[in-house]
Amino acid sequence: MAKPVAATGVARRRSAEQAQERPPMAKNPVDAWMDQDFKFAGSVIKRKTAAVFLLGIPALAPLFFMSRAVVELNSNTMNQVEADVLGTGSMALLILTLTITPLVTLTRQHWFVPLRKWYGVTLACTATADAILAAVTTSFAGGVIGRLTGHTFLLVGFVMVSLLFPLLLISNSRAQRRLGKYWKPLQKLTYVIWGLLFLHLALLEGFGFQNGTNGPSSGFDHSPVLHQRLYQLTACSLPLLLLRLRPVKRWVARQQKAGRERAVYLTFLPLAVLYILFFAYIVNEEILKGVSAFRLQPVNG
Amino acid sequence: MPSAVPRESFSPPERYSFPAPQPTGWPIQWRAARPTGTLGPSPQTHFDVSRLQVAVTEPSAYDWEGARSPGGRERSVRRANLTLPDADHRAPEIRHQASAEAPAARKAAELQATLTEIRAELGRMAAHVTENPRSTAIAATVPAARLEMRPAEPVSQPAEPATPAEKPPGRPRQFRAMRLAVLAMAIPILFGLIAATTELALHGYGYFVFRSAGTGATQQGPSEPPPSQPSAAHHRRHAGPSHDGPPCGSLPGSETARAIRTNKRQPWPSQ
Repeated sequence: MAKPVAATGVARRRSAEQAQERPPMAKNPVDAWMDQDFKFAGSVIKRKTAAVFLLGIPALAPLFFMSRAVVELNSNTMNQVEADVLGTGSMALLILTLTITPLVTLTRQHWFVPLRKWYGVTLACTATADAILAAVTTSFAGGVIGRLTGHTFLLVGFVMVSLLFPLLLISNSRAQRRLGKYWKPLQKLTYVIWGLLFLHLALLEGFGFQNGTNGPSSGFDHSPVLHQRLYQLTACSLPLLLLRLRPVKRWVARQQKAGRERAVYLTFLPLAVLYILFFAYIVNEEILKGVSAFRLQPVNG
Repeated sequence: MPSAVPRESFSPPERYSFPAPQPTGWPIQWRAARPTGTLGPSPQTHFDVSRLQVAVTEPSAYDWEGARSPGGRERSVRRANLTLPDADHRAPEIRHQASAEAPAARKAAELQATLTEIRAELGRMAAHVTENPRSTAIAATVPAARLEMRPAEPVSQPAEPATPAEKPPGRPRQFRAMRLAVLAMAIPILFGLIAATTELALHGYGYFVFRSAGTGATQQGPSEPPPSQPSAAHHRRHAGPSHDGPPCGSLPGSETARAIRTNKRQPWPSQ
């Protein structure tokens, strides 16, 4: 067969066209690894599915901890630790929901993005359960309405739940289709809820701490600062807020494009440590109070 | 010398104005790119111009002698070299032309398919009407006046303008769903605000805004006495000089007392 004489130019052009057809960004290696399958109990499962499932299960913990007291109608438990278990759980879930986007900015991985929806859904369920149980069981004057709106902090909490519940209803793909371009602005009301949570906690516990009596569970380790919910939320929100600022995002993208990912991680390391430290206290309290609630032996402290 | 075009080679339509194989004895075959050795019609339904490639193949049997003649090979290569730049030059133009005409052709095909479908549907409907005369009888019972009231539908649609239809100036269809979602948020919030205003009017500003630290978060100490029984702590507060809460006289007496009893009013944290 004769050697193609002028085909090299065409081939070069074809390869250039193929290069243009390629996606602009290469897939993150972790994402690629997560997309692979593995065999488990005779069925083929994606690593990503398994990881998302395992990370999503703990979101049900607050509801699980309170389930026994609700089923057995144990008013003592519901009255004493309901707000701690479901309220703290809601706060933790809101923080987790808000953590996903900065984490994508920081790591450029996307395999955990489905968790944002799941955490948001469980947050709405937990907060609604908190409001319902608080309206039924707490000892505030004024009946159900008084227990929901009788104080400023209660009113703010009620407004938060009123915003969260419709967001829960429109969190499915059908609602997304029906709302079209309005879906995202509505979902951005989560940021309003974030701000209202600051107000709620400020009105609930004040801006200070009271020698171990204000922060729940601080009676056990005598470190009231780390148990103060407002401080916990502030510490956890700081990196989340920072990584949402446009100039910061641009800087991170520039550094990552230049291959200086280590510099990005080192810059955000102190904030990440702060986040992890305070979030660990939130989780610690949730587990402590939650287990006590599940055992129907609520702890005060 | 006309060359016999092999079966697998692509013969472009006239409107693309591809250059016809030149009678040079060295056929330049325009082929759709696909693995060699696959004969028969291309599996692609649309011709992909971007995958078009020019390949110089071996001379056919009828000019084999000419190729084997002394200097024939050099001459052929020279000819190919003369022809290929022209082909390379024309390829983008052809590609551009094809991509410009592809949407129109696709739209025409879709229109044709829709028309065929409508025709088949009408045929089925006609068959149904002829097979079930009862339905036509029911239709015949409709008063003639009502039938006459209906405006005659146009048989044929007016030709659509070539430009895409502009969006209507009104609100988009998602607006209604958005309004529903906003209403679902606004109504409970409004209810909460009204209820809070009522609470404020009933119990006073001090009760509504301030509260005992920790109340609602974790119940501290023993449960509270019922509102009807004033607690001992309440009396002590009144008696002692260190009563640092708001004076009971500053609010309507009974309501303030109930507020203090219910919430165990303590000073706002000073630390």
